[in-house]
Amino acid sequence: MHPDQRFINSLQHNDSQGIAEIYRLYADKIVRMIRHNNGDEADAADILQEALIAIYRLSADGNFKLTCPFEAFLVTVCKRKWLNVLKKRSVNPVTKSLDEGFTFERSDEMEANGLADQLERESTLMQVLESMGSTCRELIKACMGKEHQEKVAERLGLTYAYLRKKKSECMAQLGKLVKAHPLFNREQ
Amino acid sequence: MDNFFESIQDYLDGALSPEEHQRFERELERNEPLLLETDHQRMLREVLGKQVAAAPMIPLLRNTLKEVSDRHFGSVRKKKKITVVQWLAPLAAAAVILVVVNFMGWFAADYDALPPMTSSVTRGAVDDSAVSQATEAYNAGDYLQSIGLFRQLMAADPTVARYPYYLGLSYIGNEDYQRAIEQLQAVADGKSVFAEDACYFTAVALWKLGKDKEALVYMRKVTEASEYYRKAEKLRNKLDN
Repeated sequence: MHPDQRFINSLQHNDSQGIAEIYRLYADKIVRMIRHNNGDEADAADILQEALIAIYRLSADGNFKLTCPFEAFLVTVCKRKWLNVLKKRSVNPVTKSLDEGFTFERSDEMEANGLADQLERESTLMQVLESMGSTCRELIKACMGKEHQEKVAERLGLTYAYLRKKKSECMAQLGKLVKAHPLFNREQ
Repeated sequence: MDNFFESIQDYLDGALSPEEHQRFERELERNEPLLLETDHQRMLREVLGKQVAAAPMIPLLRNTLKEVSDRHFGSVRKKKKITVVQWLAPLAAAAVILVVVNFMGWFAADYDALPPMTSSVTRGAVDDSAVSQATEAYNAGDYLQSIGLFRQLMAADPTVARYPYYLGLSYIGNEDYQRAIEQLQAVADGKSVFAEDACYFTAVALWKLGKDKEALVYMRKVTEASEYYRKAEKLRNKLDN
């Protein structure tokens, strides 16, 4: 495990001192990167916040192991998020300056990209779920908690047998949608 | 493969009988598409489980990030140097928009402002100190705490309508609107004194999730007798337009 795992722990425990340290160490670098690429400080603050929330989501179950410096991972996530914003704004990024000011070991860069890929896949999966009909979406969310399935059925006012049937239909549908998504499709 | 989907879910849920479990595992050994689909479904469930469990913490983390971010960046965000001529035009446009918006009653009221919970004796199967703790946590805005406490109170005495009502409101405070709806809808559809107020907050939670049509149904159930009537009317107009 990388010593920077402490930053992941800070996010998991909503530890404001640890989070302040993340800002103290890395925020200005993110600002510089985004300023060089058609953005401003406010954009950087938003991107940094969204990146940290995405990293928290990825690591929320406590099983996530950071395998590279936190900076490399954070910068990669921020860079990808900012490129998406620029794409939506129809602005061509100056990709050279996105990498300026950061020198990471090749292996760290590869690890960071691998983790960022995983983050992107998970967030895509959740986007696909949100795009589903409300019945399936809510049923899947209800079933994925720690509550016993029979209790879930009771809470939703369904019979246990119907819940199981409907859940399997919805999960099958989700599975197909995810497989069809370009991000997952290109990996097959 | 379609025939197997229910079995895959039951297998992953551990809901198969020992015989069915063994049969399914034998099938996995010789049926590669089934094995791949089972692995895919396992992956989906792991991610979904993690993300669903992470959701309640997000609003709290957002608050912390915002505080730290504001401290770090100061309050200069989005401030840019602009000339007098540059700001006069948007100012005039904004004034016109404000007049129109005000005329149409669209000013965003604080729709999800939560009412305080008064301390009152609840006759039932729970002790008063548990109720007091839940009330204190709720009134202090410690919704994570009040959610846990109201759930315990509900488990101890499911007949008291104010517990699911304030549990639902706590979920709203925590920005967990789906769970808020689950609690509040039952109260809204019931006959307790909280029913109408629960209709209003159910509608607010539905609206927050973008379910405007369903929100309107509950918003229309709020009558003039409710202290939320004016707010409901305002939001109704907003959604109708």
